[in-house]
Amino acid sequence: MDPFDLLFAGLTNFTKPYSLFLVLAGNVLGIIFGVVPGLTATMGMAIFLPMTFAMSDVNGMLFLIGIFVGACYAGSISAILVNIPGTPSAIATGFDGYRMAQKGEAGRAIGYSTLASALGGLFGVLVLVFAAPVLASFALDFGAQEYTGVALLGISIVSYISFGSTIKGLIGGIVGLLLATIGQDVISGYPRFAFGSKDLEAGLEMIPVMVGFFGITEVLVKLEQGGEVKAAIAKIDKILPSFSRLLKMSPMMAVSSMIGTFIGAVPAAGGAIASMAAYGIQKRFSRRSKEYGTGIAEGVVAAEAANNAAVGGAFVPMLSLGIPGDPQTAILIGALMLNGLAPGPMLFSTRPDLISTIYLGNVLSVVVFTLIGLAGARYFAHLIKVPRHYLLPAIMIFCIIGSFAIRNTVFDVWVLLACGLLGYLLQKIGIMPAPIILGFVLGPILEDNFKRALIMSNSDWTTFVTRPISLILLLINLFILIGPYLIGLARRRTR
Amino acid sequence: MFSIKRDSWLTFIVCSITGAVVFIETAEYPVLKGQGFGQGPGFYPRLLAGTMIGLGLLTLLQDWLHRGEGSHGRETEPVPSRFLKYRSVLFVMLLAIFSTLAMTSLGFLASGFALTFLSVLVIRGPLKGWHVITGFLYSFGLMALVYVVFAVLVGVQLPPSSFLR
Repeated sequence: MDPFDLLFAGLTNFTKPYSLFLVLAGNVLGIIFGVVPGLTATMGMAIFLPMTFAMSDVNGMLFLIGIFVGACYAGSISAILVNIPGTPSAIATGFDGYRMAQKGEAGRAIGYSTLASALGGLFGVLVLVFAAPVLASFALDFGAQEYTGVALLGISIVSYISFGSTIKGLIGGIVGLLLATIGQDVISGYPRFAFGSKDLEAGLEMIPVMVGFFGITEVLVKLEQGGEVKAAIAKIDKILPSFSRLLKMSPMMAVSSMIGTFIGAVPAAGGAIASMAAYGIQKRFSRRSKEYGTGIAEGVVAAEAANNAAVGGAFVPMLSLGIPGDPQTAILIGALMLNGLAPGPMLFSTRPDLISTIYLGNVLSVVVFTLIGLAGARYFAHLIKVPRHYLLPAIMIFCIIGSFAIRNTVFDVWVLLACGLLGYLLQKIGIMPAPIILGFVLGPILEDNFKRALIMSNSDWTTFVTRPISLILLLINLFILIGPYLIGLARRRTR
Repeated sequence: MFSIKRDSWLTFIVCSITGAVVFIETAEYPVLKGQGFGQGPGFYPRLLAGTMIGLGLLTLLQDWLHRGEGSHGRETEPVPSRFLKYRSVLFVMLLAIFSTLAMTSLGFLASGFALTFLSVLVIRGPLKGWHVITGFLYSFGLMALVYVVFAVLVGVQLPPSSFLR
């Protein structure tokens, strides 16, 4: 079927008020789950999945897509306002967004974030519609060696973009990778670093670790700093950036969206790596490179365009191959299966209306969160007006309940507090939380693929350089890590 | 932040201790055969630990190469102000630990209330009578909100008090 015909095959589904209401409700719920640190898109979708049993497959999809897209956007709001990303994909947004908020530009940061998210999201859907089969087949060529390269790329990018020393960024990444090794070995099932504890044997959950390193660490830093957590809220009135400024930023938005869509299409890579990669690349090549991290709109735009474009990208392997691009698309696949549908190439011919609904549902969700985001920016920004003696305990409580809710166990609260304290102490010696979290997220992907690559090649380490894509990825890694030093050395010699 | 020189030493020490702990802990892990490479479950953590120790050394080397640049040996601040600076951090962290310890006996709502109420008072600093009342009301309201959102709407089973069981 022609992509245009496919795009509009399910248009009639959007003439029913109930379907439109579900998109709106999904978005509102998604925004709530995205804004509150500790609640995630995955959690929201998982919690509301049973509700879709009572809906038609089309309506169920629309509702879940609304939650997914809304949460992906809203993760940036808490990253900007209180430097606690609501979702892992908003980690990079906080680098500049939070600084902007501290400078009294919270509203403007949310405005930029909303528009970049909208454009990135729409770009992702466009790619999904027109280039899905091509992108999917490219991602299908990735073997264990390539995934190892992608995971290493994530670590090197984050160590490069983490402020301060690259070496300390790498150390942070390794701390995260080591934390990810706690629990059973992926190949042999042997318990590592469990010290006799059944809880540790099961491994550390993502949410307590992430919320601990970002939420609790941030609370402790704020307590140490003293004074009030207040940015100059007087400037909230200016939310929408000028058209000329947006036009000037459009090339970087397009590049970030492309990066986001591509990385999103690689199964298991996801929005967090997409936004980090886009941020790192924009920082590397921008004329304002040194200003990144000080609170410039370009940093927010780069990260947000990429992580929302990654949503469209994540749908590519899901629809074309039936492979989830991230945990959220895994839930969507589950929802399709519950309705007796098998995601994959056949779906394009058997249920074009459903494919079209997914496309258009994404577009509509982007429109809805843009309207909510722009209309609500000045109200969201008032979050930082709350006095810190009220705000910090509330953040602490939400972090605790968010961590507890994942598995209903107090052990996760201990993990949260331990990670928060560790993050605070490591920050004292210049090791920031972002590389640690990225290391933790990438840990299982890296270890699993690294070991599989070695097993398949019978312990031949050259396997990583004999495959072209893997070699290119390793060379990019090398360039990111030692390139700046070599360029600096060359410049010194020229002088 | 500590001075740059001390940062590097501390980074090196942290990396070395972490690396050593990993090497000691994984020393007794089995070397499993038939995996294609006979390194077993300890191989990958040891590889990471070795890299970490190497990076710790690199931090020292980098600091030594750039000696004389930047603000080495920044003066430490006077002890009284440092104590005041870390007082709230220490108190709130201890409150969080005690609240988590008490969660299974008092239940989430009571321990959460105590954590919120006492944190509000500790962070607020010099107290007046009405601060205690507003802190109490705020903590009560926050717990009510948490109960409605998480227990009622989302369906999270908050730990109940063992006294009420």
